[in-house]
Amino acid sequence: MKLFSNKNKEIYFLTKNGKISSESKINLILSPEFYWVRIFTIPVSMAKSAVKVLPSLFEDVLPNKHHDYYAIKIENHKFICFAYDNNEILTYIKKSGLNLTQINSVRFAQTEMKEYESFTIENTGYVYDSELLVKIPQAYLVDTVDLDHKLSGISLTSNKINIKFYINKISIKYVYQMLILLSLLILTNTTMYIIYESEINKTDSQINVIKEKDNIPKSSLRMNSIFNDMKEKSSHNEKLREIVFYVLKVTKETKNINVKQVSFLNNMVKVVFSNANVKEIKKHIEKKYKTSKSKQEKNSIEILVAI
Amino acid sequence: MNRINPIYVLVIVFILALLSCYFLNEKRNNYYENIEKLKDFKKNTHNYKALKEGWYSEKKIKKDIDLLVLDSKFKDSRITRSFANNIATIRLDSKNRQTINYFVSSLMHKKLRIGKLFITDKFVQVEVLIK
Repeated sequence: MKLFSNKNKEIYFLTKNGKISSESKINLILSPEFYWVRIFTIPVSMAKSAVKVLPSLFEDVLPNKHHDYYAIKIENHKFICFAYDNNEILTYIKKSGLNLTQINSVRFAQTEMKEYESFTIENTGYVYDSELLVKIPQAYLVDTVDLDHKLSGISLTSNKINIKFYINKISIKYVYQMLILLSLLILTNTTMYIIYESEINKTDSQINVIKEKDNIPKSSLRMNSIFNDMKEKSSHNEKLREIVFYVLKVTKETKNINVKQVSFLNNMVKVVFSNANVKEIKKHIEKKYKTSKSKQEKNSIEILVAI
Repeated sequence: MNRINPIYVLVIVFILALLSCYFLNEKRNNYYENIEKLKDFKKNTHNYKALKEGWYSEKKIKKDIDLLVLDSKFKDSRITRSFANNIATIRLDSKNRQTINYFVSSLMHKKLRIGKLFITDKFVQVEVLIK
């Protein structure tokens, strides 16, 4: 079935029973059995506009199937129109033994075989009848060209068809709607991401401004360490005040207890009482603080409280 | 010819949309973490400043010592102060117990870091850390 080779791209005529064995890039010409062709007069100027009305014009022969359509303008308002089943063509291309990556272009025999009034390929006849190429038994053709062995003489037109190299059960319309929705989602997310990023930068720079303005250590670890150290030291001083005030309060409220001396050194508060016994003093002090040591000498009692 | 199946494109775009949701979620969490970080930082800075200006301001400590020493209630008593190695030593000698109590009370109500303290019924000696 090989017709001829041009720039490493071979041309093959594809029929439903044909087998092709080639490793090269292929330009395929579809036999008329793969498509329906009609000539219509449509009041539009462009082939693209004509394609839009073809589903209704082919409705009488193709009522239920989902087909793809193609039109070529031949005269003013006159178009040669095609209907084809993309999935069927794809199935037969695969059946022929070709790999889909080998396909360079796909064309209709109707537009590509005009050099011949009639011809035979693989014992099947093809003839132009009223401008349309039709498939007929070879026996009806006399003095026809047998293209089985002819390798050159075909020049391809620019009328390529747009074959989809996949079979989808989901309508392409829904796929596009989903694509638009998802793209909008991505766009919104990207915008929000940029907004959050800029807000994060703002808060970071706000922190740096505060650090510089208030002379805060740059590292938060260092700041926390200094803060904890300062807090510990100041809390010791607060505790010292609490203890001193408490001791003075107890002394004031209790008879026979006099404070002789209060001292503070190395985080220890030492209180020396006079005219009291150890038990009574300890009872009062230990209501609130734990005493670490106490001793009694004559009339004075010494109590140590750790901070 | 359409060689690329739109379903594949849809799947890729779907994955991209999922990724964009994931990264947006991460960024949103970062943003809220940052807001919390800023709040904590402001709070910590406030506490740090309050502590530093209250207990660790050399200027304020010296001013407080001056106020304490120059208090008119101690004009009949002997009160001295001296500075050495960032430590201020204040000593009040008084036979009046009321004056001693007043001095201790005034000292304790000021935010001065006391390193050493010695109170008897005749005198009070205190070492205040300046730095």
